[in-house]
Amino acid sequence: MEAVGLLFDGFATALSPLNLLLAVAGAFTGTVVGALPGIGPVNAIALLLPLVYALKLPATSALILMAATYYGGGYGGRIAAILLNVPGDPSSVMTTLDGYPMARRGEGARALAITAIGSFVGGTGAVVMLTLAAPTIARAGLAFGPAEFVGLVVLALAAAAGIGGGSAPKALAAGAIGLLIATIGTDSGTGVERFTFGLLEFLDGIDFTVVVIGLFAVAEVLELLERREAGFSSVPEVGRGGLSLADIRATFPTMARSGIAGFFIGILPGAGATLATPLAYSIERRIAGASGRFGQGDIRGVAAPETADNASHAGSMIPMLALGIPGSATTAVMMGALMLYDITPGPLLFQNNAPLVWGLIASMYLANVVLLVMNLPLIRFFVRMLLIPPWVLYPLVIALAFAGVWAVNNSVLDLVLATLLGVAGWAARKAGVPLVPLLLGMVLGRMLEDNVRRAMALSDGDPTILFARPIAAVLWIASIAVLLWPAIAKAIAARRPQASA
Amino acid sequence: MPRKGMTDRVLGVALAALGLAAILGAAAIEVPFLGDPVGPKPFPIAAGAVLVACGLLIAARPGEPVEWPSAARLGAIAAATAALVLFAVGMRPLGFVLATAVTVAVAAAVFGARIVHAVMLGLGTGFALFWLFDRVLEIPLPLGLLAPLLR
Repeated sequence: MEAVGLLFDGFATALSPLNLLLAVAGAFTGTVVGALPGIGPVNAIALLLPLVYALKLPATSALILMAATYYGGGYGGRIAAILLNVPGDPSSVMTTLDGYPMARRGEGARALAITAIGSFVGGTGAVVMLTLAAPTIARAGLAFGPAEFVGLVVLALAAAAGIGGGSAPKALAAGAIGLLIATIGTDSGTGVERFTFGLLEFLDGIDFTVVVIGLFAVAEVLELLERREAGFSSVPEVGRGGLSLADIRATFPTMARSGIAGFFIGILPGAGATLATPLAYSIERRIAGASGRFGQGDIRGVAAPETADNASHAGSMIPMLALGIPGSATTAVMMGALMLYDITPGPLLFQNNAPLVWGLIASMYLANVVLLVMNLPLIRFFVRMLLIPPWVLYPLVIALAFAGVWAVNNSVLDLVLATLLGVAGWAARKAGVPLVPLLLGMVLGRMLEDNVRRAMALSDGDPTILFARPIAAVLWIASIAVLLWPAIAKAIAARRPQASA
Repeated sequence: MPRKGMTDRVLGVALAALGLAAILGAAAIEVPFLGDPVGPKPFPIAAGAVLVACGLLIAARPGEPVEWPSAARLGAIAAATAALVLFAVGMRPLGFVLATAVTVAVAAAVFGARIVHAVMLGLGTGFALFWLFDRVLEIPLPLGLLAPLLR
């Protein structure tokens, strides 16, 4: 196995003092922002993006920091879900169902411990699968020509619209806006300016960090303001006691199944943790049958979604690393970060940037160990973080966000742009327009256009080249299928109305 | 009260208009020479066309009505937005510390802090972030009015 040798080299990279420090810092930051309702890992990574850029961190180190933050978010989300019945992020909604009843019974410590272990099992198990699968997928991707990449990007955008939930036209519109934002600046093929409005600042396109901070961090704070987030004046006791070996033995099959399910759903573009957690939960509830007390504080009910959550995070790294197609907001931001370093993720990444890829993968193993240690004995510290009043927390987020935007280009225009995008992002969320497709469109736009034009150059302008090769054709058919999926699902549900009850 | 689906109708028309603007803007691009059979125009035109189609679809078949916040909440959001604009405008003349202090103080007040607390948080954040960025991370920030003090 060549992967083992490369992974060993990766550990040498990941264990360098700087990278280890960044992995720990990311794990910590991620757990904190995951724990705090409202600020998710996407926002944290958006805030980190200008910092790593301005500090000129090596690309590998930047990615290690971001990945650890992403992972940490998966661990942190459960804390408020269990203790306060408030999910720290959307993917921990399912954890409230059994976690809160457990906390009410005084079993908060037990629920927090088993979910930390579940997160570790899911995260680490999925990284093992990633280690085995990603190089193979990348190798298969090497055979892809421009037409296949066009199909892949279209599939990613269609999946974000079709599986992402909500209105498909709105999601597609968001994706189209993302594609249009990607065209702003100098066209690489001909050197002409597109949509620059004569502004010098737009010649290189709109800075990715500005868009991400505006649409995610600023918009999020405005939304919290609107909801009049009151904060928590007290957090219930975590409770004494904890886990027995019997608990681990009883939940292990649950963790194994949920981890595998989460991993594979994570690979799908547009699906991710918000789909993986309810699926894992309902599988376990069905398997438990009458013996389960799901919804009343069954320990398997907290282990399943948290394991699936973290497994899906590792799964979602695969399409980004191996094919250059991110499937979630967070991996899209990471890919955007790599592009700031002039590194284009894709099949060639494993060949041309092997130290980066394997350093990152090795750091994922380390981050999971760090997170497990952090989240077992230090759990009380993170619980205390929930007591920070909103009037301290959110203005701080704003200040950090804007200091970061400034650090990138020292541009007043960027600050104004981030504000405008923040308001636009808030309004878009209110109107039910998802922002993940926009982000995907923006990150993938150049790649999509370049590959369309490359393919057409190969065929002398004959567009059938985009559909003629078998893999490309399959990808197009799959795209249409996922776009129509909501309608199909509705039709199936209408046919058997009793089944979902 | 807004009528049912009003948000979606407005949104759809706005998206379609944006798409149309993109199409027209792309069509007006002057291309001196063609490096490839496609050129720089068709891609933005296609994306604009998708936007127009989706916009019209949204306007024609509006979904559930959206509940917009009360005037008071909208006021709070406007105040927070103003605080952000203040930051952008104040960055060069006031310098990072004071611009941050003002913005954070206004934002904290909007989030319900008492004025004294808001001002203290603002100044504390301004100095702390300046120290972190400018001194520790060596990312230079504008000194502005406080230049004599900070140098």
